[in-house]
Amino acid sequence: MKKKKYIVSFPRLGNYVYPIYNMLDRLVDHSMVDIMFPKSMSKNTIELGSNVSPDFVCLPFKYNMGNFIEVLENGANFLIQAGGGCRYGYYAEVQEQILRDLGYDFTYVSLLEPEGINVKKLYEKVRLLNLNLSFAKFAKEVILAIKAIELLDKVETYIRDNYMYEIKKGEFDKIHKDFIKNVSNISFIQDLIKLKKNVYKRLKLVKLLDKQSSKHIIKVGIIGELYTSMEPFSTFYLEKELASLGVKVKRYTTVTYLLFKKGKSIKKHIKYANKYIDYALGADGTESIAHTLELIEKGYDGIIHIKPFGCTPEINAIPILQKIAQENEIPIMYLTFDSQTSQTGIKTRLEAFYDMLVMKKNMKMETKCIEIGSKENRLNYDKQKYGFQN
Amino acid sequence: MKIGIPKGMYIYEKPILFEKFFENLGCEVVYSSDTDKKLLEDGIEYSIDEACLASKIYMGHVKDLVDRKENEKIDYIFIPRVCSFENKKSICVKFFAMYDICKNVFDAKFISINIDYKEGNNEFKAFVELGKKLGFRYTNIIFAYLKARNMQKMYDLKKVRVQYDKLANLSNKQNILVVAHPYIAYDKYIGNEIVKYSQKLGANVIYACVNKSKYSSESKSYLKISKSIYWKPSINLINGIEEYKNYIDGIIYLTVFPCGPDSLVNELLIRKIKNIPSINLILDEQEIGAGVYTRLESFYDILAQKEKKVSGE
Repeated sequence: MKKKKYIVSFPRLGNYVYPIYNMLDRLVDHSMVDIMFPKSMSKNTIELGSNVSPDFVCLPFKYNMGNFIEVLENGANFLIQAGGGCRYGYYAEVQEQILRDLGYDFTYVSLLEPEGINVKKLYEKVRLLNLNLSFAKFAKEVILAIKAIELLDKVETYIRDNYMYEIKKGEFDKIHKDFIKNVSNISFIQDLIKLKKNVYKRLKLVKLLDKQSSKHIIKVGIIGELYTSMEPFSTFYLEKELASLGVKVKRYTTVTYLLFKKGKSIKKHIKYANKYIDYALGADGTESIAHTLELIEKGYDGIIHIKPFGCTPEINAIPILQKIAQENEIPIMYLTFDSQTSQTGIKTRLEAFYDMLVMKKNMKMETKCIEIGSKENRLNYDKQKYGFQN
Repeated sequence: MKIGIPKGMYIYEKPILFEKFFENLGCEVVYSSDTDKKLLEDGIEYSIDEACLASKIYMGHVKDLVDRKENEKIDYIFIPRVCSFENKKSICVKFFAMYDICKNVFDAKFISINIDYKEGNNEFKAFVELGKKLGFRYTNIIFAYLKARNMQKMYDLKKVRVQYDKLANLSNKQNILVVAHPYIAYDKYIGNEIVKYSQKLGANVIYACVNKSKYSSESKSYLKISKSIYWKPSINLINGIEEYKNYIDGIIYLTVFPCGPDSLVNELLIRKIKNIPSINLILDEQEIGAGVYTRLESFYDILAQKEKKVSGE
């Protein structure tokens, strides 16, 4: 009898699906394994997911479930979950049980152990998909994928930092689109280096506004939970929405950060924020505090704190953030995302927040402008410069 | 020196240990008042809306002590910070942050103990550190800790014995296992009300959190139900279920909205333990009233009918 072919799939997370898909594609034995690209996120995903999930579990669980059901319905029979800290490490067992109760037949593998990465165990797990896989090949592909993710993060961070300052709109979007296409088919480290050089060259060529003429641009930092930070669909493309309002966005959380920098920097963060906290708050809570202080230091106009409903570590951080906001007079907006959140609601709140930030910034400038001329002049000046409608 | 202890969350896991440690060192210990409506309302006022009910109640208890600290001359309010345990076991992240939250929300002097095995801060070390912070001598601290630990152990063993006596007392009553964290199950305003009502309806209530495996070496029986679980309090509850499963007629899963670990663990338990009738009660800040009681009544009705069928009446 011919052995059944494995059809592998995995949950989505932002643009990271491309390098991950590329890695799996190159690791597995194609005579026994196919890889299914997870369906892109839609309303249907979250509906499917929340129908079968426990009521007050955190949102990423529901999205993951939705992803899994969609691929299972399309014929996948081998699911991969990452695993990690907080509640995420326990997702795997509960998700597997729920899907089995629903009557699906599949193999389920959780890559990371709750306490962190164990390379040997990871190798054993990937060997399930390719019996002839040598450790050298495995190591090479994993390193390549990690490097690709690093590059992806670097490029996206650069674009995010400068997006508002580009003179000819749309240049960054085009570079980003090309880059994503290329990063999905890299086979050697040399390709990656070439791609890196190429994309950096193109990024540097984009003409940016100088400091003086970009003074009026509102700068907002995004802090909070990792899934909502990295999966744009779960926040209804919050960053894009902000960009369309003309806001410069900064975000710290990326996969590179979580995998390689988080462990080392947690003590530094606590020390940096020692006025407010003595201990780690769990998951990304500590980072939220430290990064808020950093953003204030850097002169950001406002901060948006995002989290899925019921995210305990971020709920831990909020009372402390409220105190920071009060003492430093910085506006912080708290957004919670759930399967019920409406896109229009979020949009309205963002617009209101933006208006408030502009007013606050103007008030600051007004005190500076008071010598320049009368109030009418000033209003006209504002109108021309910021496109205000009174 | 006078230490105030808020009655909530981790204190319920080891009620004797902390109290006796301070008393052995010559400190006076006062507890916050029992949870009631006013205290819960205070707690809600000082919490984020989305925080879990247990933490809201805890904030109420802290507020109670903060209000009393002037009149009763309380020097410190004690808030343990618990993070990780032996064998890579952990706890809900709420316990990581309670101390820092209270420090930022209230204006009072707080003192903490940091139990974090992952960072090399085991319970013994943590208590030494706590004693030093309060300015006691090393030998006194060790003596106080060891004595308190022993007393806690005696107390736990006694509790288990009492529970087994209750089970052995053969009567017509239904044995009902309450699966809830001790800070929910014993809280005067939430868990205790449910237990009292169950007893009124004729049930013999036993607690999953009180079990032999907690102290007779590391029990592994939880692995039969869940392999990858790493929250120590939840492991203790699952051990309890495994221990009592042959003696009980029904299970009440009692949790508060929106408890992080329970949202996953209880889901798995309900899906895996199918031969024992169970009810899943999720409490929130609305008063426990007719809604919850009606569900309990119908649960007991079903249990009674099942028994009738079995005995062939």
